[in-house]
Amino acid sequence: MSIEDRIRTLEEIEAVRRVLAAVGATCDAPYDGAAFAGHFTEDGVMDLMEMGVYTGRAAIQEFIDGMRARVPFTMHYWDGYAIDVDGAEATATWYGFETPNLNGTAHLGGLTHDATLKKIEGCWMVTRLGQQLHFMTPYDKGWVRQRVTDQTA
Amino acid sequence: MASLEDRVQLLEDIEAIRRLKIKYARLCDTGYDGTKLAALFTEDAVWDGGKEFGVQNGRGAIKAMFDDMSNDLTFALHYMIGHTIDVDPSGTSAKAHWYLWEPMTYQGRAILNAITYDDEHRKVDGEWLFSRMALTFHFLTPYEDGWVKTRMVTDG
Repeated sequence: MSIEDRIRTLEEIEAVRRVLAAVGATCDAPYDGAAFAGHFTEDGVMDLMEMGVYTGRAAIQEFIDGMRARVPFTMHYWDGYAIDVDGAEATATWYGFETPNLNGTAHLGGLTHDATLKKIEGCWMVTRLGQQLHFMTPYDKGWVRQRVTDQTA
Repeated sequence: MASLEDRVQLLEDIEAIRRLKIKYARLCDTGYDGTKLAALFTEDAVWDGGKEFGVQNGRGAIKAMFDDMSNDLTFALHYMIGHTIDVDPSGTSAKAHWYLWEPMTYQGRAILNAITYDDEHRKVDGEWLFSRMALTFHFLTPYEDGWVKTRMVTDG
């Protein structure tokens, strides 16, 4: 691989990481559904497993905006990225933990995520975002006593 | 298209700024050495801790604040997470955003601290420094309470 291509790969990894950081920030409270969905392709998919699968920007925006009413506070701590770039396509995995107020109770969430992205007109867009929920526990109970609180109730 | 030299320089600058923040975290976690911490800031830097911890103007004031920090803050782990670093095209200034997750012992109590940072940087004599560090406190809660019951321990 030429030095040019090697530098290009490093630049693209940084660009993808930045897009994913922006995605995480837009789902911190107060949840900006339009900004969040704007990082997806028009036919993008968000697969939240037990919390549903949402296809297309409109459905993704509606889900995220709906979280605003249910979750008055949260922060998304995302890091530990592993990003692979192949031309105009990329894949990524990372870790996340979250601090939502669910039903008036402080919760800790432990998650892993994965995504596929495409570079369209110079911008990296998410084509699929996946989430694996390992625990979403009331802070005062911990993940052994109560593994998961339903976030959509 | 920027030259290869410029593109490599940008990647190196991002990495240098990331390492500066990690150095800041490690110095905080190993006793808040005011002299070493202040050396990471420009002479005219601002450390803005908001209404919770006040504003320090200049390297001298920043040093004095950190020298006093260990009196109340006897243990901390600064987990710096999720950075975004934007280097100005001039290559001499930059902005950065970070999340912080900080378990700490403050005035004898276990506290969980959630902060986001908005940092500004200047490159001085080839070295990246903080010219401004602004902290937004999202919660600062006693461990036994959690952030819904007690969002900011300083409010009490």
